[in-house]
Amino acid sequence: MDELIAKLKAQIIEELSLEDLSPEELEDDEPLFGEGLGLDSIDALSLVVVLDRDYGIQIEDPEQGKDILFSVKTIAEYITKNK
Amino acid sequence: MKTYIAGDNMITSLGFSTLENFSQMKEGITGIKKLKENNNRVYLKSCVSLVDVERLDTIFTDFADTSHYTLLERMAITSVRYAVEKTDLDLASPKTLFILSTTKGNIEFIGKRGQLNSENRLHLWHTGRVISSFFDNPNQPLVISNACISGLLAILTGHRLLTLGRFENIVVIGADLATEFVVAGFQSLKAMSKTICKPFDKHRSGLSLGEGCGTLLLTSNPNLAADEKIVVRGGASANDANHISGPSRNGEGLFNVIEQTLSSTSESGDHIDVISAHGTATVFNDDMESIALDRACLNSIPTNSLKGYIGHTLGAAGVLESIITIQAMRESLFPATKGLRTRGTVKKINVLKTNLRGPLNHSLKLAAGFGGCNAGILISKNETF
Amino acid sequence: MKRSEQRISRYCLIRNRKIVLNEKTLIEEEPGADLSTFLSSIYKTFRPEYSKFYKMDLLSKLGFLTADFLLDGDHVQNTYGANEVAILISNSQSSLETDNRFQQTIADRDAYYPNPALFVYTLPSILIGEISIKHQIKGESAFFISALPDFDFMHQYADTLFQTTPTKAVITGWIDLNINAEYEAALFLIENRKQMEKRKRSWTFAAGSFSDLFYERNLEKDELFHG
Repeated sequence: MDELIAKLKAQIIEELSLEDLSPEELEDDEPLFGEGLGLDSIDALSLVVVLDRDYGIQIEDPEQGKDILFSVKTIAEYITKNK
Repeated sequence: MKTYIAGDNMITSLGFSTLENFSQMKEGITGIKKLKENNNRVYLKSCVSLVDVERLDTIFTDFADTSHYTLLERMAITSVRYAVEKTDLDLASPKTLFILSTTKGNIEFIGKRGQLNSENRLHLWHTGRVISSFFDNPNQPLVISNACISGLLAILTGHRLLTLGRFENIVVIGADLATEFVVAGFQSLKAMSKTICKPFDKHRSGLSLGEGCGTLLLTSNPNLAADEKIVVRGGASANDANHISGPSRNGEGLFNVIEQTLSSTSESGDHIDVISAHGTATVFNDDMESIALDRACLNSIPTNSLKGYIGHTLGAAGVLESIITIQAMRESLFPATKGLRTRGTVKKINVLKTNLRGPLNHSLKLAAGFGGCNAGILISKNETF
Repeated sequence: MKRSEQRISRYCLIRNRKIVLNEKTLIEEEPGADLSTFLSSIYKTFRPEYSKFYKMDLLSKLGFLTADFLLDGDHVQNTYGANEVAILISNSQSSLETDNRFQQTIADRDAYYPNPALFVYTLPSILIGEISIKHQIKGESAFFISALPDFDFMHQYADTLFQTTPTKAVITGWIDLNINAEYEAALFLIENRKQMEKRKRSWTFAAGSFSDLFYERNLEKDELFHG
């Protein structure tokens, strides 16, 4: 799980071009959207592509997507459960 | 100095002339179809409005060699030829300027090798030159690529250049194709509807892409006016300065466009008879427009979206939809919003579910696009202001 | 209003790893690192932090940085209303550099993952949006495509905006980038002469001298308003 979280953090920073952020600064539980990291809808769609491309996980329902993409931890949990 | 219409034409899934398109819309017919996978032109499963290429080429072969021109170029050249058929407007005159509005031009050739795919073919300025030089026009064509407001900006720019006497005639061409490139792109944004789009509907779930070409001949010479009654009065563009892909939450830019269009033409909002909205049928766009119209106190004015007939035609949309609006003014019939069943936007606006009959003196045409851009133009009958 | 009422009050060029602001060379580097790295390092060194910068495509980064130097000091924001500033930009390559990147995400049927963050930037006018957001500019704007810089037209159209719209300042120029990341960027700020006299600008250029400034030809400036 820790390994997956570390990998996800690196991927999020790379894919979403968060160049001013280091993996250490990205908390496991921190909300990625809204008040937390402040990502936007395009970022959410980019994360959906990452999950599909690198983990074979498809998210069709946007409401479900909100819960899965809440934080790095929720993403990691969802991947572990659905692999 | 006034900006008259010397002629027009449109090529879409609904037909090859303004009249053919308009008569289909009057009947409530849509040209959007659900594609099967592996359609030759568009790879993905989606609802798209496509031009009948076979019919186009039957026409085109009569006057030029099909193999020398791309689909977009064949469509544009054919459209301009039809548009000038009944006028004396001289396309080869130095007083005539071509303005091409397109977002992606010949993008279908990207990454592909082929006879037509010289390096230049992907360049939009090259596309402009191919079209204007076909008609022996001596001027460098102007090419506008400004997302989904390109078409309205092209008309507005043409109008401004005429007003200041820079040219006597402007050939405004709006053209874009529903390529795999844009279909895949809009799908990646989850912006495409699985069904035929439903503008301003409570259950709308995204847009349907379309393609086509519209040609609008603008002239300051009253003798060339095909229809002396209808003129482009002016307009405006404005930026939301808010988000590059999400429409403004308070309709800021579009509201500014409406205000400035009215003030620059000294027209009152009370005089507007109809509004042809952008109405892409995405949740956010249609809500944004309802907010802007509400803020501008235009929420009771009969409004339509034409996207349910011919899809979202991107850089062609502003030109095609303006031509339909002009035809509506000629026929005193404003088409309903195809696809709309139950109105459902944040602010209540008067979106039409059925055709509206009656004289139309002043029509407002609006558009909005990525990059936070918004544009509007006012079209009026000549004797009414 | 006569044409001569408008003057170029500031300009910024980025070309050959060199940044020129109002005739002064700010930065000149040996060609080395790729353009993206060059622009990011310049941004980190010279400009206040703005995290959205890193999310932009290369064309937007280039134009955004040019505009950020041009508009440094916020005098445009402080002098004019948001609706009074227009942006007219042109180039020859549209957004082809990003189009090419997006195309690569759909080229392989077996690895078909169209990238939404790239697709958004497959329109050159997104650059105008990025500049508008940062500097809260909400006026007229347009993106034109021409084979070569057509400064005469840009000047003419800027003039049209001054005459027929609420526009009081125009940011205009050429921001071009091809698929090999060869680039050229120039933005000019055009303002009304009276406005500049009020601000006691020390010098300006005639609003027709884009080409001379762009090609870095020597030209005489007006030193009219010594304060």
